Amino acid sequence: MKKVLSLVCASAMVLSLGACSGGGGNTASTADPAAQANTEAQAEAADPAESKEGTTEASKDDSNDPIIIGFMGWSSGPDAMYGLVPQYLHEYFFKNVNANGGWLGRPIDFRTYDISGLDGDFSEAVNVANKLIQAGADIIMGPSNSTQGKAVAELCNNAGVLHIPSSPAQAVTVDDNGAVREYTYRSGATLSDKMNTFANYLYHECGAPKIAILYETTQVDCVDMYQTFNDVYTSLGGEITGVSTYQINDIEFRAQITSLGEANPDYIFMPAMAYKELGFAAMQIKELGFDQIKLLGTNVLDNQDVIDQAGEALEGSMFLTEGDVNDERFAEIREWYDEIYGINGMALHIDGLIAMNEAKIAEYAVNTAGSTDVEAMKKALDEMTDLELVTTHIDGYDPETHNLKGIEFTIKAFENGAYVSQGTYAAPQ
Amino acid sequence: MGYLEGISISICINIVCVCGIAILTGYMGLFSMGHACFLCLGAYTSACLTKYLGVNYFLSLLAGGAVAATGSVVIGIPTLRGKISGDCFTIATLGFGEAVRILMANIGVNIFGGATGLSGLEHFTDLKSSVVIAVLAILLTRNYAKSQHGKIALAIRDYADASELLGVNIFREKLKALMISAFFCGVGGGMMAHYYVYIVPNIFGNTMSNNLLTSVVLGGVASITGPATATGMLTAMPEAFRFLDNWRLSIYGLTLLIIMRVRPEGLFAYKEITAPFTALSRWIKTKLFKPTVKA
Amino acid sequence: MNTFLQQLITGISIGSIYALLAVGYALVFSVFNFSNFGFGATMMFGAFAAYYVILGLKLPLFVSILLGMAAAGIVSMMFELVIYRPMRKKNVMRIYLMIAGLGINIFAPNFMLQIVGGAVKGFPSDWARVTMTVGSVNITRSDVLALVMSIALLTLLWAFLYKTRVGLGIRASAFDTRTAALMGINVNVVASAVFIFSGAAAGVAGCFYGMKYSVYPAMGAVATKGFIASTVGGLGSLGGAVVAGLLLGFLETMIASYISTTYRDLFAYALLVIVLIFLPGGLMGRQVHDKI
Repeated sequence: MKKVLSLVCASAMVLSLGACSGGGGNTASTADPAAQANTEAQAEAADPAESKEGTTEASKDDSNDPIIIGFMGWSSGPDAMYGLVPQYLHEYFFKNVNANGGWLGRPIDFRTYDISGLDGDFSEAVNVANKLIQAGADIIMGPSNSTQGKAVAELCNNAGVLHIPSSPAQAVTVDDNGAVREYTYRSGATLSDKMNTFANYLYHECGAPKIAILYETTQVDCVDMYQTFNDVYTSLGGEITGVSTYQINDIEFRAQITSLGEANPDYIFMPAMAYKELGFAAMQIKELGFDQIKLLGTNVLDNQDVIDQAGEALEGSMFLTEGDVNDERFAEIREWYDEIYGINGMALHIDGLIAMNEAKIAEYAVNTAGSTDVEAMKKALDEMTDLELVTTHIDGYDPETHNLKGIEFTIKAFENGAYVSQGTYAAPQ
Repeated sequence: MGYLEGISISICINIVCVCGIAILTGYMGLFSMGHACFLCLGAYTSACLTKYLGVNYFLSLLAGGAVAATGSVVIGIPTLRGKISGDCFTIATLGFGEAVRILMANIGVNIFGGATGLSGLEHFTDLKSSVVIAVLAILLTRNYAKSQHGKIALAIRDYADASELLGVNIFREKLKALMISAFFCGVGGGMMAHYYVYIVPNIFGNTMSNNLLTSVVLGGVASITGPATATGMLTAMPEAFRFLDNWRLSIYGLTLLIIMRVRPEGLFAYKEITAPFTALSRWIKTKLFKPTVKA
Repeated sequence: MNTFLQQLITGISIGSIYALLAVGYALVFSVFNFSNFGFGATMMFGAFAAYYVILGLKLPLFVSILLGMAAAGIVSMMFELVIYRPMRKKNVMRIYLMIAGLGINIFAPNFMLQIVGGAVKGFPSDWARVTMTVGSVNITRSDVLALVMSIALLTLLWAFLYKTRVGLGIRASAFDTRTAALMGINVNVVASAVFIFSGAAAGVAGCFYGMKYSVYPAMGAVATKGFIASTVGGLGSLGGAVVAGLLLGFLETMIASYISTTYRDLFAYALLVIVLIFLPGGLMGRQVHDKI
C-alpha cells in the first residue's frame, strides 16, 4: 500500500512537472515546434561572438516562424479586472494583426499568462517569466503591478529579452544603483511624474487646498505616490493637514476618516491602486457627514464600476490620468470592447489601455527594426522620436530612465454622475 | 535559469519549510496560521547578511533560521503555557504573521527597503544546494520525529493530561516544536530571498501561511515525507493547471476539497516514504565504503 | 467628545457584523467542535443571492434579505451534506474539516469570479445608505438595522434552542454528541438544522456587509474576524461570540483612531491574546478545549 501510494504520488509529481513545461498560453499548443526552432535562433542571435550579419541571417532563417509575444497580467482573484481587461484588448489586437498578415510577414504567437499571486506574491510572475524566456519569447509584455514588474524586469535583463511593462514605479526601469535597466521599456508614465503634475495642478489651479492623505504602507506604488505627492505639495507651499494609513485589503476607513476630518481638510487624497478602496472611502466620507471633504484619487477611478459602486458619494472627487477613457480617441476600441464587456462584466479602464500601449510599442519596435533581433529592437526604441500610442502621443524614451517623454495628463472631476475631463495639464518645469 | 529548474527550486524551498511545520502540526497538533512571518524574518536576515556584510550564503541561512526561531519564542512563551488553549496560539500566530509583514514594510526603511523591498541580492540558491538542503531537512526532522521527542509530541497531541501526569514538560516540548518549525521556515525564507533575488514584505502574507498549512495536513499527520511530497504536488499543481486559464484557482480549490473528502486523514498519515532514502544510504555506503571493504 | 462618540458608533457598527459572523461559527462549533472555515463563502453566496433577487425580481429589501438568508442556509447545508458529514463519518480529526473549509474558501470566490466577474457591486438599495444625524453623530440606517437584526436573530435563536424539540436536540448534541445519538436524537437532523441556522446567520451578515460596503466575490475574507471573535468569546458560546465581535470592532476602531493605524492589527491581536491568557476559556466559555 505504502509503495503503491508513493508510486502514485511520484508519478503525479512527474506528470504535473511535465505538464508545466508542456502546457502554455492560448496558442502554445499550435506553435510548439516553431517555438523550439525560435529558441535555437534566439540562442544564435544572443551569441555575443556573432557578428551583425550573423544575427540578421539568424532572423532571416526563421522568417516564417511566429513572433512569440508573452503577456502577463493579474487575471484572477478579486482584482482580476486589471489583468483580464488588457488581456482581452491584446487578444483582439493580435487577432487583427494576424488576420492582416502579422508583422514582417510573420504571424504573432501571442501567449497570455495569469500571474496573480494573492497578497502581492510574485512567484507566479517569476515562473512565467522563466517559462517565456525559455520558450524563446521575443517580447515580454506586462505586468502592471510594480512589485511583480521589478522581479520580471530583473529576469528579462539578465536574459536579454525585450520587456515592456506598464508598471508605473521608477524602480522597474531603473535599478537600485540608479542605472537604467537596458531591456525594459515602460508603456506609461511614472508615478512620480503623475504625482508631481497632480500636486502642481492642485496648488496652482485649485487654490492650494488643505489636503489630508490616507495611504497603504506595504505596496510600492502607494508608498511611492504618497512620498512624491507629499514632498512636492509641501515644497510648493501647500498644507498637508494629516497623514494616516490603512492596510492592504482594508475596506473600512471610517476611523481614519473621522480622525483626519478633525483638521478640516478640503480634500482627502488616497493614492490607491484599486478602485474599490476609493469607492468605499468616498461612501464613508459621505456617511460620516463630512460634506465639505472631497476625495482625491488615482486613475483607477476612471471606471464605470466605481460609479456604480459609490454613485453620488464621488461628487467633487478628482484625479489625474493619462487619458480620458470616454474620449473620442478611444471610441473605436470601446465599440468592439463592449462586445466582450457584455459577457464578463468588466468595464474598460485606462490601465487596460495603458497596457495596450505595450502592443503598440512592440509593433513599432519590430516593424522599425525589421527583425525580432533584440538589439535591433532596442535601437529602434532608443531612436524613436515620436509615436502615437493608444493613450497618448510620446516623444520617445529618456535614455537615462527609459521613461516616456512628452506625456500629457488629463484631470478629471466628478460632475453630475460622471467623470468629466477638466482639460490637459503638464507640470511647470 | 530554466523553467523546470525554477519550479524544482521552489519545491525544495517549500519542502524545507514544510518539514518544520510537520513537526509542529502533524506531531504536536498545534495550528499556525502565520508561519509566513518566520520565512519573512529568515529571508530578511539572510538577505541583509549577504548583501551588506558579504556573509557566506549557507551561514546566512543558518542565521536566518536562528532569528526566526528567536522570533517564535515571542509568541511561544505567552501562548503555549499551562492551560491556554491551542486556539490562543492560532490567533497569536495569525496576528504575529500580519504584524511582522507590516513591521518590515515600515521600520528601518534604509536597511530593509520598506515597501519597495530588498533587491540586488546575489543569486545563490541553485538547484544542487537546494536539493541537498531539502534532503537534509527531511532527514533531520525525521530523526527528531523518530526519536523520543516525536513520541512525546504524539502523546501530548492525543493525551495531554496523561502525558503531563507521566512527567512530560508540555510547555517545553511545545516550545521546542515551535522553534524547530520556525528555524526551518527561516532557512527556507533565506533560500527564497536568494532565489528570487528580490523580496518585499507582502509576499509573506496569509496565502503563504495557508499554503504551508495545507501541504502539511494534505500530506498527513505524523509524517515528514508525506507533507514534503504534498508540498511538491501543491507547488507544481497550479502550474500544471495553467492550461485551464482563469479557472485554475477554482479547480485547485476543488481538487483540494476532493482529496480531503476522499482521504481525510491526509495522503501519508503515520507513514514515511523510505524507499528513496534507503536507496540513497545504500548508494552512499557503496560509493564511500567500497574501497575500505575491498582493502 | 463628538469624535469619540462617532468612533464608538463606527466600532459598534463594524462589530455587529463581526458578531453575526461569530455567532455562526459558535453555533457550528458548539455542536461539532470545529470551525467551519467555509463560512466566508456561505456569506458571499447569501449576499449575491440577495443582490440578484433585488436586481432581477425587484423584490423589496427585507424580502430579499430573507431570501438571501435562505440561500445561504441552503449553501451551508450543502457543504455539510457533501463535504463535512461524509468526513465526520470517518471520524477524522477536526483539523481536516478545517482544511476542507480552506478548500471551499479557495474554490468559491474564484468560481464566483468566473461566473459574475470581479467587479465590486453596490447593493441596489438606497434605503440602507441614508444617514441619520443624532446630535452631532452620524449613523446610517444599515448600522441600526444590523444591530437590531442581530439582537432579534439572537433572541429567535435563543428561543429556538431553548423552546423547541430540535433545539433541545441541538443542546443535547452540543453536550455530548454520541450520548445524544444513543438517546434517540437524530444527529443528522440536528446537524442540518445547525448548518442551516449558521448559514442563515452568515447570509444576513453578508447582506449587511453588502449594504454597508459592496457585494463582490472576495468579500468572504472578513469571516476570519468572525472566527477570532468566536474563539475569544468562548467555545461555542453564542453570547460570548456577540460580545467578542462587538469588542473586536470597538478595539479596531479605537486603536486606529487613537494609537496607530499602521499597527492596528498588532495591538488588536495582542489585546485579544492577553484576554485569552487570562481567560483561557474565552470571555464566556465553559471549559478549556481546543477549537481547531
